[in-house]
Amino acid sequence: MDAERWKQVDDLLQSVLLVPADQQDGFLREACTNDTELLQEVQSLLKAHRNAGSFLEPPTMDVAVLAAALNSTSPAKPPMTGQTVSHYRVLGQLGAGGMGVVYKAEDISLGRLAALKFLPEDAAQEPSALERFRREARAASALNHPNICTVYEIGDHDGQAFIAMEFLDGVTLRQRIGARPLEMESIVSLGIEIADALEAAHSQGIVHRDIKPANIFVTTRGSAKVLDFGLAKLTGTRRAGYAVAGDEKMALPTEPLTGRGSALGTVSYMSPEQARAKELDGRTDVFSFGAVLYEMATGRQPFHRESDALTYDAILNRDPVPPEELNPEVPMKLGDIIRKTLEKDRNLRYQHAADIRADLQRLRRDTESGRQAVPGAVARDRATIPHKGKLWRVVLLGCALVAAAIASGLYYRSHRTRPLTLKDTVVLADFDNTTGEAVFNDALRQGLEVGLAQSPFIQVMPDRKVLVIMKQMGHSPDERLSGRNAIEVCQRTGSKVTVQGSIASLGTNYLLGLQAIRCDTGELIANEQVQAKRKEAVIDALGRATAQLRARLGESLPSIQKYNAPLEQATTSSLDALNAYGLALSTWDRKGDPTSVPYFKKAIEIDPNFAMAYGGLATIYHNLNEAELARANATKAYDLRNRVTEIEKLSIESRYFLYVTGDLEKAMQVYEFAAQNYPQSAGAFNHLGTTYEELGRYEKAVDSLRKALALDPTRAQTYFNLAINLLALEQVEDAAAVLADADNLKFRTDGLAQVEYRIAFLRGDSAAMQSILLKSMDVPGARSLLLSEQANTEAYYGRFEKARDLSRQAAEQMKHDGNLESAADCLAVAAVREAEVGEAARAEDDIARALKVARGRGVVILATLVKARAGDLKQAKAQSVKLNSQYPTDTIVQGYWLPTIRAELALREEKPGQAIDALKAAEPLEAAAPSFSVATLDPAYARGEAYLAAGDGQNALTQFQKLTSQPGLLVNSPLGAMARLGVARAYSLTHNPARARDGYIDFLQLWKDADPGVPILKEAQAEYAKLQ
Amino acid sequence: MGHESSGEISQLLLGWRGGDRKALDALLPVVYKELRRLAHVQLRHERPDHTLQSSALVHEAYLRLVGLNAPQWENRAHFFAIAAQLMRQILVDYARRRGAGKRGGRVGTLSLEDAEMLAPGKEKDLDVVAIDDALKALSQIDARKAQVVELRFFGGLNFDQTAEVLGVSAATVARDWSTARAWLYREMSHGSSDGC
Repeated sequence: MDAERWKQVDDLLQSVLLVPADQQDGFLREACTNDTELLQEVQSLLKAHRNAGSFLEPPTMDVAVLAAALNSTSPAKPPMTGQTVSHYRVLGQLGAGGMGVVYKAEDISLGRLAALKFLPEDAAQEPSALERFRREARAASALNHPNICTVYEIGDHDGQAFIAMEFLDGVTLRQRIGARPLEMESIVSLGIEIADALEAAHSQGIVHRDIKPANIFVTTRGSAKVLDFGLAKLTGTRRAGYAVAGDEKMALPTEPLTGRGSALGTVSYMSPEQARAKELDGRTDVFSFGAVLYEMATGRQPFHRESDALTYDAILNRDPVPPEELNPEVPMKLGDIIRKTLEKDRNLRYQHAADIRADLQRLRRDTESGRQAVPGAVARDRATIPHKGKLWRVVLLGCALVAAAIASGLYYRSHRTRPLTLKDTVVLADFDNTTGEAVFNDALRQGLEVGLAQSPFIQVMPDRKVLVIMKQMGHSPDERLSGRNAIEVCQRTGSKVTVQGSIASLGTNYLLGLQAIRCDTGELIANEQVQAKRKEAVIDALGRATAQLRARLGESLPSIQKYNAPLEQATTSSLDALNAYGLALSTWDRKGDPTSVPYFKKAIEIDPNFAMAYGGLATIYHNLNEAELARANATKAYDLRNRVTEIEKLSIESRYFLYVTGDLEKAMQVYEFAAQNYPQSAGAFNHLGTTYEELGRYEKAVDSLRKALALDPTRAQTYFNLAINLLALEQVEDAAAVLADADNLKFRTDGLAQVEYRIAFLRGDSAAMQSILLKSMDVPGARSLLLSEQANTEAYYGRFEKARDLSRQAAEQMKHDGNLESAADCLAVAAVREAEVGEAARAEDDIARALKVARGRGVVILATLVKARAGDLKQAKAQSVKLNSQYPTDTIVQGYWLPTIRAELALREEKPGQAIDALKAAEPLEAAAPSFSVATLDPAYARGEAYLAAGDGQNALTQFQKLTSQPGLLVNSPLGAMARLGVARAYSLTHNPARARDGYIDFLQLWKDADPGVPILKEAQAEYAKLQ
Repeated sequence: MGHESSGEISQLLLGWRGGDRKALDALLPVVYKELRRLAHVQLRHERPDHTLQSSALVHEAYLRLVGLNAPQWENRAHFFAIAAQLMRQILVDYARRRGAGKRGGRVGTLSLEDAEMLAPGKEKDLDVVAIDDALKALSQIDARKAQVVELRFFGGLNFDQTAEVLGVSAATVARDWSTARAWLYREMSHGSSDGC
């Protein structure tokens, strides 16, 4: 409805509402004498108005009442000594860990001592801190174990949450160790207790994730208590064993959190998988526990270095000095135990804390029996250690004191670090540019995107998807993505973080800012600012700010170091070129392929070494079927590929192999590498899947595509790809289920309709086929695809006249849509099937038409095949020589088509042996998907023909049955029908007349409505008659 | 973020009214966070048979963030305008998550009962997602009417406040409201809007 019409409706409705109810109908009729539509519209709204009742009416709200209610629950102050909190009497403050307070208290009802831990007031206002606080309590209270600090309850005091827990006397293990080794007895007995505590937690599915000496308490009685399950998380399942962690995972603190208790945030006890920000299970605790054992045994931390970066390096790559070397008292068995807990590969480590416990118990048994045998050793042990006890300052402590300090660290960390996990997506807003210089508008956002996208850890939401969401939000595609819109896009898509950049000028300097906001909580998690001294330095400054931001978002240092192509070099040092590139991409997303070309060209004109711009052009020309231009640009990008970021390099390489050399094996390797290194990239898995498909490796394709779909279920194309590959594996119902998923999500693409059609064909549901066909006639893209499908179906049943007509209609539609090469392919496919059934003249005619439309790779290949099948040997030979030299590295040309063409040529020359030889080259790829418009198994069919010609029925049968036994692979390809005739002929040769007769009947039944004049049909009828 | 005093919030509101877009950007996350927090608190404390009023939440958020004594009347209206929009997001998100759970998709953090408790108004079966969709459709035809509904329904604003936010007269708001309500009611009961 247009605005004017709506105003008419609105005005009339408002007018009629002023009229007494009993006169309203008459009033309306009079007002709309000549406009029944208007009448009906207003009438229906009027009716709705009458029926609406209290629909949507907001209840009245008394602000004063609310205010009174609020005043009564104003934030509470922490309790004072002597005060009663719930059923605890506060005896005094045990400690204030920076931002949290712990009190010693007496449980009045039970008469026991307890420690009460309160969250600091401002942290208590912070939902995430509160949540962690509660989680800690829940996790720990789920554990009832003598070596885990017991949590009595989680309470509420005047709206402030607190944890009541066991009150302990003693020191932390960190204090206990100081910098000197413990005596063996203590190491072993504490070790056994800690291992037991860990085992108990792990068997509940709880991983501690922060085991270190400061988190282990040694009571005055000498037993261990593990504290602070604040970081602990429940793994996916609560059963015993190590389920892989799910939604949230430990990443790295991005800065040393020292100064708030020196043990806070230390990275020295992290496991390698933790340092890599991988998903964690109980084995991370095993490693950290190993580091604790090492420190108990040597007084030194195994991996501690001067800086965090060096510490990471040590954790990831260095073996610690053997503990026996640092402390000769350490028995080799203990050294072995420690080494096994510190294995970098978690699969080589102790798999369960219980195994460490068992080994330590065995060590204790052996040592004790050894001591009895060699008493001198004990005496020496005692002689070296005893004075150490005097150094301990034994103090009264609640186990919570330490925990309070840690809670403040947690609060700190929750603000500063690891907001992202691997599966989270980042939405980039447009830059807030207050410089008045338009060149920054697109350049900076583009640079930021390139800088972030190179990280395997960070998933940037693709602009195309942002556009779709913006459209759903009712915005025009040209509207800029403000910070606010970005937050909404972020929330709507379940993403985690938005990043908005800003640039302002400060005299001749520029101030660049990057702000990251968690869109679910609104929390500001990063605010990076860098200065650039002049305009030319802005890109470089942006690169630095981006790297800082990545760290803030939780990416590990090694990863940032590994993927850190300098932005200037990865993109361009020219702001103008970068701006043009940014414009090119946004135009591409908004207005399609051709309109973006001038912007790419401009970017290249300014910076002729702009690799990514060449890469973009290559893709566009490929999409536009401009093969030559695509090749030229892909080659240029490939030559410059070493400048760009890792992920961009992979993308350039894959395009080069796909567009220029046609080397699918190499493209596959690139995608395999990409999928391995960017395991969260749906695109990598999708491309890998389609490359496997082209190579005929359908099972691998399905695996990859399922992963792609799991990573990003919003790409319609992936459903289509997956369904096609499932069909190829004969899993028709699974394919149908994938389509149903896509349908539930309201995805409609032209390709999906095509798969739907194929499924209907395989189910023999001709009514469904007809209805899909009809539905698609009004959708330009789908129309041509479905016309081709229907053409295939007609040919499958021998109705070539209809098939011919449909193929021509499809080609016309494609031409009309501007897809000349596809149109040519479509006509060429028609020609191939004519040639196959003996209609040589028609085939030649069709191929001539096809070549008039376009002369791309597909048409030229198929034209050669047609010439060979139609008996135009001279031309076919010349063309196949040309094909060979033109596509020397093209996997499909060399491994599928040329062998087939050579075999057809040999067959026409009546040299079946030579044909069979030629086809050997096609064995690995005979089930490949050579092009979208042709099915597959041409080499197998040709081989079957060759064996027939050679009189070898048995082998011919094997070949033809490859086609007849895989309907999902061939679907409605006429080759599938023809193969039935091949089967019949093969049985004739094997002197199996009964089977042969069945075969002929099968074929003739299939072709019962076939055009009567088709040569191969006449042959089949004659052969069958002879059999009778 | 998260530590703004009520004075600062007032200042931001003032800045935003004066056309400072950054002020709004600073404001949004604070308000959003507060609304969500309140929603969660409510969910924890309310009995399941209690229905949570989104407009009550918005008022409460205002009191907590800005306070009663501080602001000019206009500031409050503008605060409510933001809050109404955010409240809509929050409710729709909850409801959608719940819907996603039903389809066997991602399970949201709130249970089904939670989502129902959050549904505004007295009618328990009022479908927030459907309202949201219908509002989107309405905004295609008449953006201001859709805004009126958002402010009143999700933000609990009265006609005067709504008028203040939109810079039109209260009479216009009332007119818009009645047409929009009828349109939405029809849209949601029949699910069709053609005819014109």
